[in-house]
Amino acid sequence: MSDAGHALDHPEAAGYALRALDPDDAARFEEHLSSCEQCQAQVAEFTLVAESLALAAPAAEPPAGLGLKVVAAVQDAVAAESAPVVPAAATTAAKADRRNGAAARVRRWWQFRWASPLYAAVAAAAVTAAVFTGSLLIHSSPALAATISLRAQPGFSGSGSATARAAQGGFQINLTVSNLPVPGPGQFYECWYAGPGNRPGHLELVTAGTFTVNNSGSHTFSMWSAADPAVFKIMQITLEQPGDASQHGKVILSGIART
Amino acid sequence: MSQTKAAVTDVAEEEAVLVARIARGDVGEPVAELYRRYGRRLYRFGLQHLGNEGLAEEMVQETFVRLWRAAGRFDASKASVGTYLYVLARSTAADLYKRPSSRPLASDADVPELAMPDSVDQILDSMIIREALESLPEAQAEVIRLTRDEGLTQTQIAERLNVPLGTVKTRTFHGIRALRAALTERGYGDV
Repeated sequence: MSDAGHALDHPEAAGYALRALDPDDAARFEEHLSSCEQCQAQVAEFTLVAESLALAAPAAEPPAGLGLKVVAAVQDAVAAESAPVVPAAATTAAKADRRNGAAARVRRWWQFRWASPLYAAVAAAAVTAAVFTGSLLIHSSPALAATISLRAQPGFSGSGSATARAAQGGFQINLTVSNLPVPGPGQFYECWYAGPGNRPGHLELVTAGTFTVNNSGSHTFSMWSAADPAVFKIMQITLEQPGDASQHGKVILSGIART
Repeated sequence: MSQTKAAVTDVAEEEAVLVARIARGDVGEPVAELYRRYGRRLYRFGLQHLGNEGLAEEMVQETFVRLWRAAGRFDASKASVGTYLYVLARSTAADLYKRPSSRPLASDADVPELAMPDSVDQILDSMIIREALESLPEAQAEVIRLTRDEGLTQTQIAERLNVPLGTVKTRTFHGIRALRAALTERGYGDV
Protein backbone atom coordinates (compact mmCIF):
# COMPACT_ATOMS: atom_id res chain seq x y z
CA MET A 1 0.00 0.00 0.00
CA SER A 2 1.29 3.47 -0.81
CA ASP A 3 2.21 5.97 1.93
CA ALA A 4 -0.73 8.16 0.92
CA GLY A 5 -3.14 5.26 0.97
CA HIS A 6 -1.86 4.12 4.34
CA ALA A 7 -2.16 7.62 5.78
CA LEU A 8 -5.78 7.86 4.64
CA ASP A 9 -6.46 4.56 6.37
CA HIS A 10 -5.26 6.14 9.61
CA PRO A 11 -6.55 9.72 9.66
CA GLU A 12 -6.28 9.53 13.48
CA ALA A 13 -2.64 10.58 13.07
CA ALA A 14 -3.77 14.21 12.74
CA GLY A 15 -6.17 14.03 15.68
CA TYR A 16 -3.50 12.32 17.73
CA ALA A 17 -0.98 15.07 16.98
CA LEU A 18 -3.60 17.65 17.97
CA ARG A 19 -4.47 15.62 21.11
CA ALA A 20 -8.06 15.62 19.95
CA LEU A 21 -8.74 11.88 19.89
CA ASP A 22 -11.16 10.44 22.39
CA PRO A 23 -9.43 8.17 24.95
CA ASP A 24 -10.57 4.91 23.34
CA ASP A 25 -9.54 6.08 19.90
CA ALA A 26 -6.20 7.28 21.23
CA ALA A 27 -5.50 3.93 22.91
CA ARG A 28 -6.32 2.00 19.73
CA PHE A 29 -4.20 4.29 17.60
CA GLU A 30 -1.23 4.08 20.01
CA GLU A 31 -1.34 0.32 19.75
CA HIS A 32 -1.10 0.59 15.98
CA LEU A 33 1.47 3.35 16.20
CA SER A 34 3.91 1.26 18.20
CA SER A 35 4.49 -1.02 15.20
CA CYS A 36 3.90 1.30 12.24
CA GLU A 37 6.82 3.39 11.04
CA GLN A 38 4.72 5.21 8.45
CA CYS A 39 2.29 6.44 11.06
CA GLN A 40 5.14 7.32 13.43
CA ALA A 41 6.64 9.53 10.72
CA GLN A 42 3.24 11.03 10.01
CA VAL A 43 2.59 11.82 13.67
CA ALA A 44 6.04 13.41 14.02
CA GLU A 45 5.33 15.61 11.01
CA PHE A 46 1.84 16.55 12.16
CA THR A 47 3.01 17.25 15.70
CA LEU A 48 5.27 20.05 14.42
CA VAL A 49 2.30 21.56 12.60
CA ALA A 50 0.05 21.16 15.64
CA GLU A 51 2.61 22.83 17.90
CA SER A 52 2.95 25.76 15.52
CA LEU A 53 -0.77 26.42 15.95
CA ALA A 54 -0.13 27.52 19.52
CA LEU A 55 2.00 30.35 18.12
CA ALA A 56 -0.64 31.66 15.69
CA ALA A 57 -1.38 35.35 15.97
CA PRO A 58 -4.82 36.23 17.32
CA ALA A 59 -7.43 36.48 14.60
CA ALA A 60 -7.83 40.21 15.05
CA GLU A 61 -9.39 42.18 12.23
CA PRO A 62 -8.65 45.87 11.72
CA PRO A 63 -11.61 48.21 12.27
CA ALA A 64 -13.81 48.61 9.19
CA GLY A 65 -12.94 52.27 8.63
CA LEU A 66 -9.18 51.97 9.02
CA GLY A 67 -8.52 51.85 5.29
CA LEU A 68 -10.29 55.17 4.78
CA LYS A 69 -8.41 56.67 7.71
CA VAL A 70 -5.10 55.52 6.23
CA VAL A 71 -5.83 57.13 2.87
CA ALA A 72 -7.04 60.30 4.61
CA ALA A 73 -3.91 60.42 6.81
CA VAL A 74 -1.62 60.21 3.79
CA GLN A 75 -3.66 62.77 1.86
CA ASP A 76 -3.54 65.08 4.85
CA ALA A 77 0.23 64.69 5.06
CA VAL A 78 0.62 65.39 1.34
CA ALA A 79 -1.68 68.38 1.50
CA ALA A 80 -0.01 69.76 4.61
CA GLU A 81 3.37 69.58 2.93
CA SER A 82 2.32 70.92 -0.44
CA ALA A 83 -0.05 73.68 0.65
CA PRO A 84 0.03 74.23 4.40
CA VAL A 85 -1.81 77.53 4.64
CA VAL A 86 -3.30 78.82 1.40
CA PRO A 87 -5.60 76.34 -0.27
CA ALA A 88 -3.61 75.06 -3.18
CA ALA A 89 -6.49 75.38 -5.61
CA ALA A 90 -6.18 79.13 -5.45
CA THR A 91 -2.43 79.02 -5.75
CA THR A 92 -2.33 76.65 -8.68
CA ALA A 93 -5.09 78.43 -10.51
CA ALA A 94 -3.29 81.71 -10.07
CA LYS A 95 -0.02 80.16 -11.25
CA ALA A 96 -1.74 78.69 -14.27
CA ASP A 97 -3.20 82.06 -15.02
CA ARG A 98 0.19 83.74 -14.84
CA ARG A 99 1.79 80.98 -16.89
CA ASN A 100 -0.79 81.23 -19.61
CA GLY A 101 -0.87 84.99 -19.61
CA ALA A 102 -4.65 84.92 -19.55
CA ALA A 103 -6.18 88.27 -18.78
CA ALA A 104 -9.52 86.82 -17.88
CA ARG A 105 -10.36 86.47 -14.25
CA VAL A 106 -9.74 83.18 -12.48
CA ARG A 107 -12.44 81.87 -10.27
CA ARG A 108 -11.28 81.66 -6.71
CA TRP A 109 -11.67 78.77 -4.33
CA TRP A 110 -14.24 80.48 -2.17
CA GLN A 111 -16.24 81.79 -5.11
CA PHE A 112 -19.65 80.06 -5.00
CA ARG A 113 -22.41 80.33 -7.49
CA TRP A 114 -25.94 79.57 -6.63
CA ALA A 115 -29.40 79.09 -8.03
CA SER A 116 -31.30 79.54 -4.81
CA PRO A 117 -30.94 81.31 -1.45
CA LEU A 118 -29.65 78.05 -0.01
CA TYR A 119 -26.41 78.48 -1.92
CA ALA A 120 -26.10 82.08 -0.82
CA ALA A 121 -26.15 80.83 2.75
CA VAL A 122 -23.64 78.17 1.85
CA ALA A 123 -21.37 80.77 0.31
CA ALA A 124 -21.61 83.08 3.30
CA ALA A 125 -20.77 80.25 5.64
CA ALA A 126 -17.83 79.28 3.49
CA VAL A 127 -16.35 82.76 3.55
CA THR A 128 -16.87 82.94 7.29
CA ALA A 129 -15.17 79.60 7.69
CA ALA A 130 -12.26 80.69 5.55
CA VAL A 131 -11.75 83.88 7.53
CA PHE A 132 -12.11 82.50 11.02
CA THR A 133 -10.67 79.03 10.77
CA GLY A 134 -7.45 79.57 8.87
CA SER A 135 -5.36 78.15 11.67
CA LEU A 136 -7.59 75.11 11.75
CA LEU A 137 -6.35 74.17 8.31
CA ILE A 138 -2.87 73.79 9.65
CA HIS A 139 -3.15 72.46 13.15
CA SER A 140 -6.27 70.39 13.58
CA SER A 141 -7.32 67.03 12.27
CA PRO A 142 -11.09 67.30 11.96
CA ALA A 143 -13.37 64.31 11.87
CA LEU A 144 -13.66 62.40 8.63
CA ALA A 145 -17.09 63.20 7.16
CA ALA A 146 -16.95 61.58 3.74
CA THR A 147 -14.76 59.86 1.23
CA ILE A 148 -15.22 60.18 -2.50
CA SER A 149 -13.75 57.91 -5.14
CA LEU A 150 -13.68 59.68 -8.50
CA ARG A 151 -13.96 57.68 -11.68
CA ALA A 152 -13.44 58.75 -15.28
CA GLN A 153 -16.59 59.25 -17.28
CA PRO A 154 -16.96 57.47 -20.64
CA GLY A 155 -14.48 58.85 -23.14
CA PHE A 156 -12.16 60.30 -20.51
CA SER A 157 -9.18 59.07 -18.56
CA GLY A 158 -8.02 59.70 -15.02
CA SER A 159 -9.07 58.94 -11.50
CA GLY A 160 -9.14 60.60 -8.13
CA SER A 161 -10.09 60.39 -4.52
CA ALA A 162 -11.08 62.91 -1.91
CA THR A 163 -11.83 63.15 1.76
CA ALA A 164 -14.02 65.70 3.48
CA ARG A 165 -13.40 66.47 7.12
CA ALA A 166 -16.02 68.27 9.13
CA ALA A 167 -14.74 71.23 11.09
CA GLN A 168 -16.04 74.45 12.49
CA GLY A 169 -18.03 76.20 9.78
CA GLY A 170 -17.40 73.86 6.90
CA PHE A 171 -15.45 71.01 5.43
CA GLN A 172 -11.81 70.61 4.62
CA ILE A 173 -11.44 68.74 1.35
CA ASN A 174 -8.27 66.91 0.36
CA LEU A 175 -8.38 65.94 -3.27
CA THR A 176 -5.94 63.80 -5.24
CA VAL A 177 -6.29 63.36 -8.98
CA SER A 178 -4.13 61.32 -11.31
CA ASN A 179 -3.71 60.63 -15.01
CA LEU A 180 -5.80 63.61 -16.08
CA PRO A 181 -4.91 65.18 -19.42
CA VAL A 182 -2.71 68.25 -19.01
CA PRO A 183 -4.96 71.29 -19.64
CA GLY A 184 -4.39 73.36 -22.76
CA PRO A 185 -3.33 77.01 -22.58
CA GLY A 186 -5.84 79.00 -20.58
CA GLN A 187 -7.69 75.93 -19.38
CA PHE A 188 -7.99 74.63 -15.85
CA TYR A 189 -9.86 71.97 -13.96
CA GLU A 190 -12.72 72.81 -11.69
CA CYS A 191 -14.14 70.80 -8.82
CA TRP A 192 -17.89 70.95 -8.19
CA TYR A 193 -20.36 69.67 -5.68
CA ALA A 194 -23.73 68.73 -7.14
CA GLY A 195 -26.90 68.83 -5.06
CA PRO A 196 -29.68 66.25 -5.16
CA GLY A 197 -31.72 68.18 -7.71
CA ASN A 198 -28.89 68.87 -10.13
CA ARG A 199 -29.90 68.17 -13.72
CA PRO A 200 -29.65 69.87 -17.12
CA GLY A 201 -31.57 73.13 -17.03
CA HIS A 202 -31.75 73.09 -13.23
CA LEU A 203 -28.27 73.36 -11.89
CA GLU A 204 -27.59 72.77 -8.23
CA LEU A 205 -23.85 73.19 -8.32
CA VAL A 206 -21.35 74.66 -5.93
CA THR A 207 -17.81 75.17 -7.13
CA ALA A 208 -15.14 74.06 -4.73
CA GLY A 209 -12.10 75.36 -6.55
CA THR A 210 -9.95 75.30 -9.64
CA PHE A 211 -6.65 73.59 -10.25
CA THR A 212 -4.20 72.39 -12.82
CA VAL A 213 -2.11 69.21 -12.90
CA ASN A 214 1.55 68.42 -13.50
CA ASN A 215 2.86 66.69 -16.59
CA SER A 216 1.87 63.29 -15.22
CA GLY A 217 -1.68 64.53 -14.80
CA SER A 218 -1.54 64.32 -11.03
CA HIS A 219 -2.09 66.71 -8.18
CA THR A 220 -3.01 66.71 -4.52
CA PHE A 221 -4.35 69.75 -2.77
CA SER A 222 -6.66 71.10 -0.11
CA MET A 223 -9.89 73.01 -0.49
CA TRP A 224 -12.30 74.47 1.96
CA SER A 225 -16.05 74.40 1.52
CA ALA A 226 -19.27 74.89 3.41
CA ALA A 227 -21.08 72.44 1.13
CA ASP A 228 -22.03 69.44 3.24
CA PRO A 229 -21.10 66.22 1.41
CA ALA A 230 -24.11 64.55 3.00
CA VAL A 231 -26.29 66.89 0.89
CA PHE A 232 -24.04 67.73 -2.05
CA LYS A 233 -23.23 64.08 -2.55
CA ILE A 234 -21.79 64.19 -6.04
CA MET A 235 -18.34 65.55 -6.78
CA GLN A 236 -17.52 66.40 -10.38
CA ILE A 237 -14.33 67.51 -12.10
CA THR A 238 -14.67 69.45 -15.34
CA LEU A 239 -12.21 71.11 -17.68
CA GLU A 240 -13.01 74.80 -17.95
CA GLN A 241 -11.67 78.01 -19.35
CA PRO A 242 -12.13 81.57 -18.12
CA GLY A 243 -15.56 82.90 -18.87
CA ASP A 244 -18.80 83.29 -17.05
CA ALA A 245 -18.99 81.59 -13.72
CA SER A 246 -20.89 78.44 -14.65
CA GLN A 247 -20.16 74.90 -15.65
CA HIS A 248 -19.38 74.62 -19.34
CA GLY A 249 -16.98 71.71 -19.60
CA LYS A 250 -17.99 68.08 -19.75
CA VAL A 251 -17.74 66.09 -16.56
CA ILE A 252 -14.44 64.21 -16.68
CA LEU A 253 -14.39 62.62 -13.24
CA SER A 254 -17.32 61.98 -11.00
CA GLY A 255 -17.93 60.26 -7.68
CA ILE A 256 -20.44 59.93 -4.89
CA ALA A 257 -19.61 60.92 -1.33
CA ARG A 258 -19.70 58.02 1.10
CA THR A 259 -20.60 59.51 4.42
CA MET B 1 10.37 30.56 -14.95
CA SER B 2 7.66 28.65 -13.09
CA GLN B 3 4.14 30.00 -13.02
CA THR B 4 4.41 30.68 -9.28
CA LYS B 5 7.63 32.64 -9.65
CA ALA B 6 6.18 34.58 -12.57
CA ALA B 7 3.12 35.47 -10.49
CA VAL B 8 5.30 36.62 -7.60
CA THR B 9 7.35 38.79 -9.97
CA ASP B 10 4.19 40.29 -11.44
CA VAL B 11 2.90 41.19 -7.99
CA ALA B 12 6.28 42.69 -7.01
CA GLU B 13 6.36 44.82 -10.16
CA GLU B 14 2.75 45.87 -9.71
CA GLU B 15 3.40 46.94 -6.13
CA ALA B 16 6.59 48.77 -7.11
CA VAL B 17 4.48 50.75 -9.60
CA LEU B 18 2.03 51.60 -6.82
CA VAL B 19 4.90 52.92 -4.68
CA ALA B 20 6.23 54.92 -7.64
CA ARG B 21 2.80 56.53 -8.01
CA ILE B 22 2.77 57.37 -4.32
CA ALA B 23 6.21 58.96 -4.73
CA ARG B 24 4.70 61.23 -7.40
CA GLY B 25 2.01 62.34 -4.96
CA ASP B 26 -0.71 60.13 -6.38
CA VAL B 27 -1.73 58.81 -2.99
CA GLY B 28 -5.42 57.92 -3.20
CA GLU B 29 -5.85 54.71 -5.12
CA PRO B 30 -2.30 53.29 -4.63
CA VAL B 31 -2.45 53.73 -0.86
CA ALA B 32 -5.92 52.18 -0.75
CA GLU B 33 -4.69 49.23 -2.81
CA LEU B 34 -1.60 48.63 -0.67
CA TYR B 35 -3.74 48.91 2.45
CA ARG B 36 -6.07 46.29 0.98
CA ARG B 37 -3.11 43.96 0.54
CA TYR B 38 -1.18 44.64 3.73
CA GLY B 39 -3.49 46.48 6.12
CA ARG B 40 -4.68 43.45 8.03
CA ARG B 41 -1.18 42.04 8.48
CA LEU B 42 0.20 45.39 9.57
CA TYR B 43 -2.66 45.86 12.01
CA ARG B 44 -2.03 42.46 13.57
CA PHE B 45 1.67 43.22 13.69
CA GLY B 46 0.90 46.46 15.52
CA LEU B 47 -1.54 44.78 17.84
CA GLN B 48 0.94 42.13 18.86
CA HIS B 49 3.78 44.57 19.15
CA LEU B 50 1.98 47.34 20.97
CA GLY B 51 -0.78 45.39 22.68
CA ASN B 52 -3.39 48.06 22.08
CA GLU B 53 -5.97 48.45 19.32
CA GLY B 54 -5.74 52.25 19.23
CA LEU B 55 -1.97 52.20 18.97
CA ALA B 56 -2.14 49.48 16.31
CA GLU B 57 -4.44 51.70 14.24
CA GLU B 58 -2.14 54.64 14.72
CA MET B 59 0.82 52.53 13.71
CA VAL B 60 -0.86 51.46 10.47
CA GLN B 61 -1.76 55.05 9.54
CA GLU B 62 1.71 56.35 10.35
CA THR B 63 3.34 53.48 8.45
CA PHE B 64 1.57 54.54 5.27
CA VAL B 65 2.41 58.20 5.85
CA ARG B 66 6.05 57.13 6.20
CA LEU B 67 5.71 55.06 3.06
CA TRP B 68 4.68 58.20 1.19
CA ARG B 69 7.63 60.12 2.65
CA ALA B 70 10.09 57.31 1.80
CA ALA B 71 8.50 56.22 -1.47
CA GLY B 72 11.04 58.12 -3.57
CA ARG B 73 13.85 56.10 -2.01
CA PHE B 74 12.22 52.71 -2.53
CA ASP B 75 14.42 50.39 -4.57
CA ALA B 76 12.55 47.36 -5.87
CA SER B 77 15.83 45.55 -6.56
CA LYS B 78 16.66 45.54 -2.85
CA ALA B 79 13.39 44.71 -1.16
CA SER B 80 9.78 43.91 -1.86
CA VAL B 81 7.09 46.43 -1.00
CA GLY B 82 5.87 44.09 1.71
CA THR B 83 9.30 43.95 3.33
CA TYR B 84 9.63 47.71 3.01
CA LEU B 85 6.29 48.20 4.74
CA TYR B 86 7.33 45.92 7.60
CA VAL B 87 10.58 47.84 8.05
CA LEU B 88 8.56 51.05 8.25
CA ALA B 89 5.98 49.45 10.54
CA ARG B 90 8.70 48.18 12.82
CA SER B 91 10.31 51.59 13.24
CA THR B 92 6.89 53.21 13.64
CA ALA B 93 5.96 50.70 16.34
CA ALA B 94 9.27 51.36 18.11
CA ASP B 95 8.62 55.11 18.05
CA LEU B 96 5.07 54.69 19.32
CA TYR B 97 6.25 52.37 22.03
CA LYS B 98 8.81 54.91 23.23
CA ARG B 99 6.22 57.67 23.33
CA PRO B 100 5.38 58.27 26.98
CA SER B 101 1.66 58.54 26.33
CA SER B 102 1.67 55.07 24.80
CA ARG B 103 2.68 53.36 28.03
CA PRO B 104 1.10 52.96 31.39
CA LEU B 105 2.85 54.92 34.11
CA ALA B 106 5.83 53.01 35.42
CA SER B 107 9.39 53.64 36.49
CA ASP B 108 12.07 53.41 33.82
CA ALA B 109 13.30 50.20 35.37
CA ASP B 110 9.87 48.63 34.96
CA VAL B 111 9.55 49.44 31.28
CA PRO B 112 10.96 46.60 29.21
CA GLU B 113 13.03 47.41 26.17
CA LEU B 114 11.25 46.70 22.93
CA ALA B 115 12.78 43.36 22.12
CA MET B 116 14.01 43.47 18.56
CA PRO B 117 14.59 41.79 16.27
CA ASP B 118 13.74 38.44 17.88
CA SER B 119 10.27 39.45 18.95
CA VAL B 120 9.62 40.89 15.50
CA ASP B 121 10.60 37.59 13.92
CA GLN B 122 8.34 35.76 16.32
CA ILE B 123 5.48 38.10 15.51
CA LEU B 124 6.03 37.61 11.79
CA ASP B 125 6.07 33.83 12.33
CA SER B 126 2.84 34.02 14.29
CA MET B 127 1.27 36.04 11.49
CA ILE B 128 2.40 33.50 8.90
CA ILE B 129 0.76 30.74 10.94
CA ARG B 130 -2.45 32.74 11.28
CA GLU B 131 -2.56 33.43 7.54
CA ALA B 132 -1.85 29.79 6.72
CA LEU B 133 -4.70 28.77 9.00
CA GLU B 134 -7.02 31.25 7.34
CA SER B 135 -6.10 29.91 3.91
CA LEU B 136 -7.64 26.50 4.67
CA PRO B 137 -11.06 25.50 3.42
CA GLU B 138 -13.57 26.51 6.09
CA ALA B 139 -14.66 22.96 6.89
CA GLN B 140 -11.07 21.96 7.65
CA ALA B 141 -10.22 25.16 9.50
CA GLU B 142 -13.35 24.77 11.62
CA VAL B 143 -12.40 21.39 13.10
CA ILE B 144 -8.88 22.63 13.85
CA ARG B 145 -10.26 25.78 15.50
CA LEU B 146 -12.66 23.77 17.65
CA THR B 147 -9.80 21.55 18.78
CA ARG B 148 -7.36 24.34 19.41
CA ASP B 149 -9.59 27.11 20.74
CA GLU B 150 -12.22 25.11 22.61
CA GLY B 151 -10.29 21.95 23.39
CA LEU B 152 -13.04 19.68 22.01
CA THR B 153 -12.38 16.04 21.27
CA GLN B 154 -13.27 14.68 17.85
CA THR B 155 -16.45 13.07 19.18
CA GLN B 156 -17.53 16.38 20.71
CA ILE B 157 -16.78 18.14 17.43
CA ALA B 158 -18.87 15.59 15.54
CA GLU B 159 -21.78 16.25 17.90
CA ARG B 160 -21.33 20.01 17.67
CA LEU B 161 -21.28 19.99 13.87
CA ASN B 162 -23.79 17.16 13.55
CA VAL B 163 -21.53 15.16 11.22
CA PRO B 164 -20.20 11.57 11.52
CA LEU B 165 -17.04 11.04 13.58
CA GLY B 166 -15.28 9.71 10.46
CA THR B 167 -15.92 13.03 8.73
CA VAL B 168 -14.29 14.92 11.57
CA LYS B 169 -11.25 12.64 11.44
CA THR B 170 -10.91 13.05 7.69
CA ARG B 171 -11.37 16.83 7.82
CA THR B 172 -8.78 17.08 10.56
CA PHE B 173 -6.33 14.95 8.63
CA HIS B 174 -6.71 16.96 5.42
CA GLY B 175 -6.70 20.21 7.37
CA ILE B 176 -3.41 19.49 9.11
CA ARG B 177 -1.86 18.31 5.88
CA ALA B 178 -3.06 21.44 4.05
CA LEU B 179 -1.82 23.61 6.89
CA ARG B 180 1.63 22.08 6.63
CA ALA B 181 1.66 22.79 2.89
CA ALA B 182 0.45 26.37 3.47
CA LEU B 183 3.16 26.97 6.05
CA THR B 184 5.85 25.59 3.74
CA GLU B 185 4.54 27.76 0.91
CA ARG B 186 4.89 30.82 3.13
CA GLY B 187 8.47 30.00 4.04
CA TYR B 188 7.77 28.91 7.60
CA GLY B 189 10.72 26.59 8.14
CA ASP B 190 9.89 24.56 11.22
CA VAL B 191 7.40 22.14 9.75
